[in-house]
Amino acid sequence: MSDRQSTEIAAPTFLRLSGLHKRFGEAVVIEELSIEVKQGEFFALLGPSGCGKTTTLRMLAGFIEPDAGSIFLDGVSIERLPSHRREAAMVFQNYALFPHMTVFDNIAFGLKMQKRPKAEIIERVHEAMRLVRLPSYDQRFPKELSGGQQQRVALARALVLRPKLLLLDEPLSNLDANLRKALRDEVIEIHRITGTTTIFVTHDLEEALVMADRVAVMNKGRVEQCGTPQDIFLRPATAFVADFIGHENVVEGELFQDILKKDALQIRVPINRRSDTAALARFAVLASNIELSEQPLDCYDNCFVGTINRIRFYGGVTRVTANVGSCQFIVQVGSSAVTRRFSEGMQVYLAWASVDMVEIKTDAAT
Amino acid sequence: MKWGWLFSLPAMLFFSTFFLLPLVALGIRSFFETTGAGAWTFSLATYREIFTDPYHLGLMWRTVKLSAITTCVSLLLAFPVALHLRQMSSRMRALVTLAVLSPLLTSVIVRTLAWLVLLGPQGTINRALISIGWQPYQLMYNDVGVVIGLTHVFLGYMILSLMATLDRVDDNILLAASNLGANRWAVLWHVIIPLSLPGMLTGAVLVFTMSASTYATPVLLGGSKAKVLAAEIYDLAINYLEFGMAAGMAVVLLLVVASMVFCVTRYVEGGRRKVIFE
Repeated sequence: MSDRQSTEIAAPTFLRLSGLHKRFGEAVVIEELSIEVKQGEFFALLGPSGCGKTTTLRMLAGFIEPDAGSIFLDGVSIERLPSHRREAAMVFQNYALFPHMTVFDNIAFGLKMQKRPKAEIIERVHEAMRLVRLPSYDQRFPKELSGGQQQRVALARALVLRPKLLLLDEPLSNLDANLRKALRDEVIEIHRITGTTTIFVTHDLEEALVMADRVAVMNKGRVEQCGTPQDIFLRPATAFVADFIGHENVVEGELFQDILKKDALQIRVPINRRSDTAALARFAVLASNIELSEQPLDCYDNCFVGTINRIRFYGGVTRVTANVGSCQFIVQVGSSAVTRRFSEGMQVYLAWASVDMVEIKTDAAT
Repeated sequence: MKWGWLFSLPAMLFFSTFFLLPLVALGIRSFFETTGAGAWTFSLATYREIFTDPYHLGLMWRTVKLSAITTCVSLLLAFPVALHLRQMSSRMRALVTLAVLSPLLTSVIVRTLAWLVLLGPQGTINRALISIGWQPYQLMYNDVGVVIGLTHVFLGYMILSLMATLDRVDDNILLAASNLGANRWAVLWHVIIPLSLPGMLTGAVLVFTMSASTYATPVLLGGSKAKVLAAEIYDLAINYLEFGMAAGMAVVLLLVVASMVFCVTRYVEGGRRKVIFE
């Protein structure tokens, strides 16, 4: 799974959204939105609720017409095309299965609309059911299925059409945690098998990072940053992205050469971020990249003494809040025998490598 | 809540005394004949007469026919309205709902007189037809007049029933259908109509039963040429004092309506439809 993320897909642009605008009454929902997606890519639209990601997906599906801008799919302008002529199949958050039809009829619906021969319909429906690992529940009704099975029917119903574009609207958010993880892997696997270009809307960071080839982080109807999961996570382009990604330890100070000064604290930053004139800068370090120890750790070029002021146990990980000088750092460590020795009020050393410091540009600069 | 049923006692008592009991008495009465002064004998003569006399069979047929036509016309008129109401603001919906229910808030006499002014031989519609050189058209004192009058009153029930089911249809289901390649008509035929079936059936039962048993509208708009069972029962009981026959006809009317309700209920709850319609 990790290697599929590092392989950038070398294909021409398959889907191009350019300069999209949409307003509902007074509210501007989408502003100057441009995204390019390659053929076969698994592309995530990530953002908090109200950022316009679902509106974007619905414009792709043909449920909402943009006020301005264009959408090209496989070289054809589709932004004014009605939904039923787009070949962009959508899987809804609430599945939106036809309650009066059996599982078979639900999946066969699109093929029946295309007036395919009966034998072909039967074969393709069963093929789609095998693809999503749905037991042969042909004659059951959606109400007689579990949430996960309903989700599989919804996926099969879209995939059976072999669409040019598969649109997923938070398809996993209605499932419980374990099932969500299992289905997540299955969706990745299905994408690997079919190679369908997929646009995936989610507010769940982990889901986007694990599943997508590339991610667009959206905020207030705009794309804040678009890149591979590694790009987004390790090199957040804006303060919003850094915040959304969960960079909790942001230090704002004066940067001179490769030292970030904040009051008495002098933090070493990557050498390629050095500045020869003193300038205001912001850097962040991930909570999980800081090591916590009772002794000083010389193997890191940043090591400070601090005081633990809070310990929170999260099961597999333990999060420790510590004060270092005038700053507060959150440290995430694996729960182990060592971490059990820490206690609130204790003096500890916090250490991390300067290369793990991520510069966060101020929004005005971008 | 062990004693909760006690609270329903007043209503139960009221209904059994003033509704159930007379109904049973009516049923029993229809099976007896007066033979001489104060003497009663069991007899099926009433039913024999009802089911062999072409006049009575004709009345029965017309009642069922007019109710069925009214039901179909109401359904055809109500469906587009209910569909359109789905997309309206709640304020507009309240207004339209009030408008469709307004016939029920009007006195039957006023309402029917208004139709008389419009539909009568010298009414507005016919005068308009004559003025553009057409032949006047018989719109009253026949089946047409009765259907128009009944549809006017009962259309609201059909709209409300349809609204109740159509409102529960998730917009995403309609979007999904169109997304999967269905055009507007296909969405209507394959998704909206099947999903509104429960509402259609509820509305049909309401409109049919009320049309079959209503008295004033068919009498005033249909006159003697389009007589229905309810009017005949009234005549038999009040004008001819034929209580046995009146009771028999009433029982027949009840059975016609009840069997219709029974069939629809069986259909809705039959087989796997129960799963779909909750």
